[in-house]
Amino acid sequence: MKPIERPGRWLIILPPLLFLLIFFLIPFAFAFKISFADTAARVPPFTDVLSSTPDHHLRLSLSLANYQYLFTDDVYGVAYLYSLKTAFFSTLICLGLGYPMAYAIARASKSTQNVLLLIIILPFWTSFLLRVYALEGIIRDNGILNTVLLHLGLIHEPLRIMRTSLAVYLGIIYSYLPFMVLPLFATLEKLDRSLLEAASDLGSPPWRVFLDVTVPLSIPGVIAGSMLVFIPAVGEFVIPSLLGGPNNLMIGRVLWDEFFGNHDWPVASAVAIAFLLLLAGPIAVYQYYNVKQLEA
Amino acid sequence: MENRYSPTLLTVLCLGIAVLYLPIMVLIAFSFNASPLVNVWGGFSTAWYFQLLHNRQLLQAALLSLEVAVTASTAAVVLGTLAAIALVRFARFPGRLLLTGMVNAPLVMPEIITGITQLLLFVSMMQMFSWPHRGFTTIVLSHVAFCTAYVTITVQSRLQSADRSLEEAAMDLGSGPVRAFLEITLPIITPAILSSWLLSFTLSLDDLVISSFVSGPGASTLPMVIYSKVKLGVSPDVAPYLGRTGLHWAIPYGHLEVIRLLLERGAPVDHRTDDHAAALVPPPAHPLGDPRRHPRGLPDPRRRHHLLATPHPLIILLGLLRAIMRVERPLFDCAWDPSGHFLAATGEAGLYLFSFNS
Repeated sequence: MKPIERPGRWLIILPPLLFLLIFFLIPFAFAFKISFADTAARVPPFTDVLSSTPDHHLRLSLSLANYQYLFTDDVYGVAYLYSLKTAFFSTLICLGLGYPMAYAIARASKSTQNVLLLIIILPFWTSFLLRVYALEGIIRDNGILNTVLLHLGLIHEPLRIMRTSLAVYLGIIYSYLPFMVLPLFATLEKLDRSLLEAASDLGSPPWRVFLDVTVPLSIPGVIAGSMLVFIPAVGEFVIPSLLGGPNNLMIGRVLWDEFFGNHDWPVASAVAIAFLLLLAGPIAVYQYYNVKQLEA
Repeated sequence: MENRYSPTLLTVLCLGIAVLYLPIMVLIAFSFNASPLVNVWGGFSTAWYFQLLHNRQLLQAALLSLEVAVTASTAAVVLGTLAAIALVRFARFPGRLLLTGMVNAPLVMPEIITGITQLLLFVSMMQMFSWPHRGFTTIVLSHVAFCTAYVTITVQSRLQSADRSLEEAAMDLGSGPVRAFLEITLPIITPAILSSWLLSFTLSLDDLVISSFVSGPGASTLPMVIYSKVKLGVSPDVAPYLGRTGLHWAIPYGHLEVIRLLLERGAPVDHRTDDHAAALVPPPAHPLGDPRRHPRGLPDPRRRHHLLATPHPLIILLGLLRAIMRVERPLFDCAWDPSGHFLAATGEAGLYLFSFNS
């Protein structure tokens, strides 16, 4: 197959390339630049990093104070560690719940498969915000869960779930479960069945076939699903802000407050850049597996 | 294909599906609850839906969201399809790796980072080119950016599985590459394009975080309004009657606790009623400052007299009428719970419930 070598192809390549360059990639450069600025009482609320002096020289005034501040105030470190911990355990639980689900769907007949997939995807078509709000209706102190448990006499005072870590975990698992199930299903479905049959013909019991053949072959799906849950969960804002309490400070909330509450854009930019650097590893892993899968 | 399920597998599957559906079902059921309380079933009612039709703020926000979603998903479908064609059909070109990266990264990038970086871009662009104004345009541009990624991924996988030989046959029979693509391949990928439009539409309609960052004053999308309602109960700038906010009602009667709370919660002092009266008449130099800039600070008690200055004539008239008719109940009545976390304010304009959790 010979590639089309004509200048006309740039008409196809350039529009999306330029658009994403300007509105997705270059913004990071601006955030990087502004993270070195100082707060100023003007619009926009920060000083110029690059400016020209009266005699037409460029002046570069970098301030590292914002990054220093991230280390002096431990709210950032605490929030980041808490975000990582929450995202990590939520991902594990999603994996524990999502793997059997994906496995069950992959083993169903083709028509059942379609129905089950539709059931998994359908919640995507309702508002994320309303789903989180709906969850609050269940777990709040006077919510459905507590009302039912109190009526049954299983508990004598309402369980406090709202505004605890548990609520944040429930929210993340509830919202991100489909992101785990779908990539897992995609790899489990493509699994070469003859390998499984060969293993059991050679005398492996079903659980060994599962552990020795199915699990290793589904690793790309496990990684894709985990990254799709882990990375956005670290930066989650809505769930900790609606379900979590003051102690469940996640980095997304810190960033939001820094920006909307304190109007400190330079520090907010510094938090975002530092956050991005720390997420670079997981994002690179995701990209690597994703590109490999797409090219395959 | 085996169809035998172990009971454990079936249990987990059902459990997972229950987790996904239970909360939404409860929400739908309770939207028909006649009682305004979440834990009491007061009978079936569609009253809330009728009330929705009269909520101007929500309707305006919904309209803005729809406009944004239609514009953004249409633009994203065009850009995303082009990107997918480029990635599938052109094996090698400068910037291919870059495009692949920019198409995949938005899928995992935390929204809060995308939002803040895009806002900084828009602000810097505004400084340099006096464009774009924060509002509809910036929301659309930022939504196009992340929707394009989803469109590209969807169309790309469909295009990869499309049979290339059909297009080649058309070209062998003398059709140009553009015509061959339009007549043969485009119909094949149309379902993917349509479904990615719908996906983009939903994602755009649903976005809260990015919109909150890049939007400007006066442009609130539906998720932004819903978020503020869920977060605050009732937002302090609602003006359900004659365009009057809580401040308009509380100031002339000097309910200082309510005023203080409303200002703390960022009630707009410059909101105009239907007959153009602002809540506060600005005194000569630095009045209260903008309470929205210092949401945590308490208003200076020495400045309280400004709050009570110059109520609107209509409000005075209303007060007089009430005095004549000997209405005992004040316009606003407030109550704190012992820990100071809860305030219920009842007023003539209906029942206001502010439930705060900070």
